[in-house]
Amino acid sequence: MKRLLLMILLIYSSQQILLAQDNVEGRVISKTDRLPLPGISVKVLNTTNGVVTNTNGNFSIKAAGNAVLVFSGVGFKSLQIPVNNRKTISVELEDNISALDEVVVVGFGTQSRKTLTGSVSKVKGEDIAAIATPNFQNSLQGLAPGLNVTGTSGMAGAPARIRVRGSGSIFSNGEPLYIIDGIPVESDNSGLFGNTGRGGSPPANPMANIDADEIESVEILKDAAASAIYGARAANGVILITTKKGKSGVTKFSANVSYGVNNPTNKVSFANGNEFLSLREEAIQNSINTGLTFNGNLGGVPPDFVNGGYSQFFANAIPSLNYDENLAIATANQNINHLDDVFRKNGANFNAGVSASGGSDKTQFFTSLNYAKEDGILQRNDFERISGRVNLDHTASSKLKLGAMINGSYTKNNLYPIGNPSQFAQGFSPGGFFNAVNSVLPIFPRFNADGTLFGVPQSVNNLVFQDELLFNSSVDNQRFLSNIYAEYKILKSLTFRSEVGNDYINQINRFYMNPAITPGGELGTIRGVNDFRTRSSNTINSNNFFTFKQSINNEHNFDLVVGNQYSYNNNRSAFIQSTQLPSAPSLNTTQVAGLATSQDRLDQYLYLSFFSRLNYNYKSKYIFSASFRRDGSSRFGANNRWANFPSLSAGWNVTDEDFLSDSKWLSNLKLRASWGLTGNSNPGGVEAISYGGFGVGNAFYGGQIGHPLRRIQALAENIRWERTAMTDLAADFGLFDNRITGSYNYYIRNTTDLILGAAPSPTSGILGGRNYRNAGALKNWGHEVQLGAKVVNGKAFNWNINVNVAYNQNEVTDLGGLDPSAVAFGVNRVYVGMPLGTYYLPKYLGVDPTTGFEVFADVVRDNAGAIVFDARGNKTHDVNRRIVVDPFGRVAGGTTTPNVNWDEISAPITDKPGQANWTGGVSNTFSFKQFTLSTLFTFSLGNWIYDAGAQSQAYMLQGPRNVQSQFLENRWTQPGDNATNPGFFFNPTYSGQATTRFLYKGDYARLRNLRLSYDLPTKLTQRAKINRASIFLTATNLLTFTDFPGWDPEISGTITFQDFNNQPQNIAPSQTNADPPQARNFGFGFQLNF
Amino acid sequence: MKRLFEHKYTKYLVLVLTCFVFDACKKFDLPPNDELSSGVVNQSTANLDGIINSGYGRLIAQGPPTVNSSSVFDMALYAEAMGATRTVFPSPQSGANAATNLMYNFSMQPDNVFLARLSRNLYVPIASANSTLFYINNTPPADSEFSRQKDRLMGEAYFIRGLCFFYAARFWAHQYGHNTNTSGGGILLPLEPSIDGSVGVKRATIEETYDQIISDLQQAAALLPVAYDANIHGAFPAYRFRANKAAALAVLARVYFQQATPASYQLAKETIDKVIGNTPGTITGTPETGNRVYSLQNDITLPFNSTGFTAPPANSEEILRLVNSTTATAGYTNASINITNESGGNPQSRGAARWFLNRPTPNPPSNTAVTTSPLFDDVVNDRRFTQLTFNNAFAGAIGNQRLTQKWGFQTQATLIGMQTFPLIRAAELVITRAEINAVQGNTALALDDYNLIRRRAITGYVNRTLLDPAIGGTQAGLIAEIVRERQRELLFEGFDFWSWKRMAAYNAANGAIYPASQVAPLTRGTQTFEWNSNRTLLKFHVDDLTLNFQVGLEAQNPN
Repeated sequence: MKRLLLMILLIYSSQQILLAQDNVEGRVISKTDRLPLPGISVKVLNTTNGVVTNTNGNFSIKAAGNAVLVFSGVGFKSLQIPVNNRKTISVELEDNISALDEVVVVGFGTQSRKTLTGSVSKVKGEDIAAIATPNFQNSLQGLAPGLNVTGTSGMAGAPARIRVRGSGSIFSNGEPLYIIDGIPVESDNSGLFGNTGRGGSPPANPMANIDADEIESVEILKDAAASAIYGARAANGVILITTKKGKSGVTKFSANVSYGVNNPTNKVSFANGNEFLSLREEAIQNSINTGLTFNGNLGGVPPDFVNGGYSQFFANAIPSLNYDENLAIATANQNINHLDDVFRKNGANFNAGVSASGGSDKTQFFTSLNYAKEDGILQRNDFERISGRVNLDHTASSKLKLGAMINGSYTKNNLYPIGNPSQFAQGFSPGGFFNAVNSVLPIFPRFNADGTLFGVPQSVNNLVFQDELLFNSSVDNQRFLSNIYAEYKILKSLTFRSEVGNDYINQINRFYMNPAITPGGELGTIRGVNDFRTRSSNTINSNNFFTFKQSINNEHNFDLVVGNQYSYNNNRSAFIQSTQLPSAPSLNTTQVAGLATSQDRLDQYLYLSFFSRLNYNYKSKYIFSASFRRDGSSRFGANNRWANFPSLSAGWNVTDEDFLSDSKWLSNLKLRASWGLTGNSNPGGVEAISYGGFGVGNAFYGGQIGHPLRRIQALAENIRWERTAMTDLAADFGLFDNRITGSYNYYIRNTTDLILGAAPSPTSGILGGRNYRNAGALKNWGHEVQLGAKVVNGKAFNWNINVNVAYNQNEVTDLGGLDPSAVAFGVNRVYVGMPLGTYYLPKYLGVDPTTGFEVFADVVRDNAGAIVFDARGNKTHDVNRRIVVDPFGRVAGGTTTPNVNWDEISAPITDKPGQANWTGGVSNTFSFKQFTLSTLFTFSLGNWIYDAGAQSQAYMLQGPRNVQSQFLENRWTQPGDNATNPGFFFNPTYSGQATTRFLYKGDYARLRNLRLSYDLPTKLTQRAKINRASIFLTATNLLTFTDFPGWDPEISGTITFQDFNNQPQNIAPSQTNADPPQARNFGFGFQLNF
Repeated sequence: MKRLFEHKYTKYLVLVLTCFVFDACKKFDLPPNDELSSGVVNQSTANLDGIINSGYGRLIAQGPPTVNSSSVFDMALYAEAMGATRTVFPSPQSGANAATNLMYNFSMQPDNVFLARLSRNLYVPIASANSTLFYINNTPPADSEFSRQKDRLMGEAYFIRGLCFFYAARFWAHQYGHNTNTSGGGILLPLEPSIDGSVGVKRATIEETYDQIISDLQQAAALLPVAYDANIHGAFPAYRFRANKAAALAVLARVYFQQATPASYQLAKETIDKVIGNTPGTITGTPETGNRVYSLQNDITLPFNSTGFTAPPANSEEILRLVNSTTATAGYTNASINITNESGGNPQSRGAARWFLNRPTPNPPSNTAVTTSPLFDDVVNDRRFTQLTFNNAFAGAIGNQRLTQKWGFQTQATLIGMQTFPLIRAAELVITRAEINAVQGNTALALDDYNLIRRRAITGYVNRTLLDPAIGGTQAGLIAEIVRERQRELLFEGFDFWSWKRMAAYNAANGAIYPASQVAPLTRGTQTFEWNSNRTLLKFHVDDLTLNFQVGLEAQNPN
């Protein structure tokens, strides 16, 4: 009976349990950042019973003990959790990364991924912040297909070069347009007065003021459907940066700190002192054996050759010493590696930031303060930034919303001297990296016997620039970005938004060299340099637009945007440069005692634009979009101020069709197509338009004070925008319940009306400047593939992989009849029918076994010896006509043979392009319980790098110049040697020629980022009222796989003046000349959210 | 507070913002950062003066010594190279592609950058002149200074334009007298400034070219002041190196002389008389040019070693000196190194001075004085030989051997090149008048000027008569001797080539007035070139053919 009673009781009580509707409470947080999630729908399965989480992510719902709760929210994977009689339930929701309803930011609005017809890549702020570099641009590499980012050098503070779907211009700026929270901002690297930075330092990058920790997401608008709404500035793509916003709820705090050490990713090996001395002996002996003479002298050999010729090295440093003394110094200092003086022992990265966000239902805020400091891999090179932000959103009434985004930042960049010889001759270099690898021989001591610096001031010593009383160079940048908006709901479906933004930059650039270290020292002609440059740039921008959203029966959905935009930039700059300074160091004053030059100038531009966009979709299945923008700009001539930029696009969500709705494996398929026009109105370093006005000429006449005025530029009132027509065909897909997702794009970018200029005709009487015209055309076409897969999706272990690969091909299709030599000069030229970055060089064929000299190919010639041009009018090489060149640069074979005419035997190199075709990245994320390991590989394939540094370090010259170890290997030493490297000869006149000998394959793959993080167990953290605490280890640029023998294959073309408009990054994308390599960083840090 | 954001206020906000946006429209004309627009430039007389100033500056501006420069000084040297003859032959100047070499061989190709530079150095001053004239005629400045400077500015503009057209005509067009009225045989004669880079005119005929040059110089002479007047020109200090009426007349005389017809010779003589008086054998002032008395300097080096800065009025032989830079006073550095360096064929040797002299071998031994010359009849007393041509003792001479000192005194601290150049001097007018008188049969008058020139140059000189053996007692002998005297006096100043064409043209129309040796074809290797050979003309630069559609390929000089 007792048993029976007990059973009845149990049954009853279990029924009671089954039927009971107890309160279940709980909290929903994000699995990614462990922050509470408000607005998440919590429902009891198969009932209408449901609630929504409050601002703290908490919920309370009546549910039976055996009920199942369903959690769902936009952007998150739905989750079903059985109550199992629990009273409290903690839930972590996972981001739904493949969700079609992911919201992406587009121009003047947002759109769901599902109804988007344009090509927009989204990169999350956290992925950018995860990479240990202060410049967020560098962190974008490999994260989005078709976006190619290369650092210009490994120097802290150096700008990055960004190309979206290839280079779309020759003379104009090829960088994308940047929009921060709806406001176009200035992004041009500022070489003040065309100055690329004193001492050859890179120009200041205003985008380095933006802190990655403030970024919520970065959207890259790649095709015309997405970017044409930005019209005349969108041809190179648009990068939309959205900063973090506050959300209603309790105030959340976040703090992060990280620290890391920097070292160079690579060091090139040079001959040490011992090798150098014996190599020199060998070179002199080779010269003697070969009987090389010049003008009847044994010209290869220095006059003091009987003494070994060493005094040549010291001639500039200590001319008074005799051979024995010189040799003593040389042999005593054989093991000095002067590169050690250039690289820091360990550079360091430090980053710390705090932020707070939250707010009420009516007012939300986000505020942050960040500090970043990078001590670069090079001495005296560091970058420091402090940045603060306040973002506010306020709902004033049911109709009116207001807000403001305010960001102030300050950066200080101490610049390292590049130090090439021409800069030194002008008094602008105290040595530096270039000098260290070139001129400071391993047999040179650091100090003279009396303790003074060796080689100062006649040559340069790398210890010089480490003393701030002798040298300093810095750029200070203040930037203040502000943006306020008001949004008014006129009707339920009609909203008006007005935004006014201001972008203010104040830059101060200071360069100082003590008289003691300029050529000739305190008695020289320069006697020190003090150079002070400043500019203040102010951009005012206003957007005013109406948004109309209407849905008819949930079938016909309209989204119309109509508005205008106004942008005005005012850039005032000035410099004063003085020489002949007093010898006493003057760090804090520019008081001028000697010669001074100064200038100030004002640059301005204005845009006024009207834009509209209509999106329509039928049940989200058939999607059409059209946009139209009309832009007016002061940057162009009066006859072509205005231009129209339309776009059309369509999309079809095929999987919404009945015939595919049952597919087991195909969970999503969307086909997209778009066409549109965009423009490039950023003429780069030189104003494209001209009023045909006068300037002050540089020739004084009459030896008197005067102001010679001359027309400095031809009138260009017909110049118009460079126009890019882009066609995009794409498919987005998801397989196996979107476990595998991806997209494929094929695009063609046809750019016409390229602004090119040649010198005005001689009889025009206009001296200097360029006669600009819209003359050329080029195209880029390519494929982009992005794939994401959740390889393992377990409870404890997860593995996600994302791959993106882009292939881009570039071809110049028209130069408007201009000769290639009128467009560019130097190692890279521009040819019709060939890609930008085509090299123009003599072809190196190898080593002549008999003489050890270099052998080159002649160009194709007819029987009479005249050059034969191909159908396009270009020369081509004839590898059967071999020219052996002696160390004097003469056709080998005697003393009277003529010098090689290098230009005559140069021809376009068609099989070794300067632009990479393949770029991309592979990222993996492995998570196991609290551990997450993520890796990012980036790669670049297909380009050939011209290494001018290798060229300078491949010969035994009369002056001091070290030799790279690679040229010592398998070199010619005696007749009959089948060597891969030519022999060394004492080489007084021929300092090496730019030839294909120094073209190297630039392919590389790089382990860009490796990050291991550990989230402290919730039990522990909650006791401390911390939502999330994680610690992490990072390694940046840990491994590089490449055959490139130089410093770094990640090259972006920093050599200036390759074309006539100073846009080397378009024309010469793969040249390097002793550019410092990227840094490798090992770091650790922690992040707290509470 | 809430009321503030109610509907009606928001409407106002929208209105204000919209107005703000549309207000921007008027700002589209933002001036380029580094340009003074025409509307600014023409507002000031001083600006117009600045434009003229830059025109002069271009004529004397130099590039670094490693490039082929093209100032009026270089133009003189290139003309010397083109005319190098006759009895001597040079070994090529080192650097086979040096401009001098190519000009000597008449093998300068249309894509040679030097051609563009030469053309630009003439047409930039022409553009300055045209701009000045255009503004004065259309939008004159309103300041009070304008009325005082107007004639002078216009006169200078006409002077510069006429001078530069004349230089261009001599390089790119045939000698007046050959194909004179052939369409397109002359040069481009733009009379308005090019603003968009296109010249807007086609090649004129030679007749039209000379008409324009003469017209410009006549207008210049009519408008220019006779002298620098501190009361009027004091505000424009560079004015003392700029053209006055005498300069315009002197250059006009040069033009008439180059035209090489009996009538133009007469006009040349009459024009010369307006500058140096009408009494051969003397130089006097004339009311026409303000009674300014030019003279031949006793110190024959003075016209060449004057910097032009310290005391230009003291050098009364110069009618016009072009002076460029303020740095020219920095000391007597050897600018002449650029034209005399004989040591091992320095590729920077631009002038190739050795070509210009009759010497037994192209390369005299180093450190050895050259003591004979077929050109000079008195190498001992003629200071033009001892002081201007050979001066073994000159400190700093390369290899102790200098072939010309004429430019050896020019000063330039950084060896950039010639920054100061006597464009025209009284001696040229005297010897020109002597030649015209000789040709016209006025032998006594010719001898007066001939002796005036020689008396100044030769120590202990005794006046020659028609019967002197060097002259031979005939008009023909006198003409031949005066022509040689002209070569001696104007050596290295760029006259030989033009004289050759002038004399040949004169003979062609008037019989054998000049000796056959002076008009003989030039020999270059195995080739010979007549005075009217197409090859002796420079080609138009390819940029003018491709960038200036008005020229057109058909207008290129034929081979």
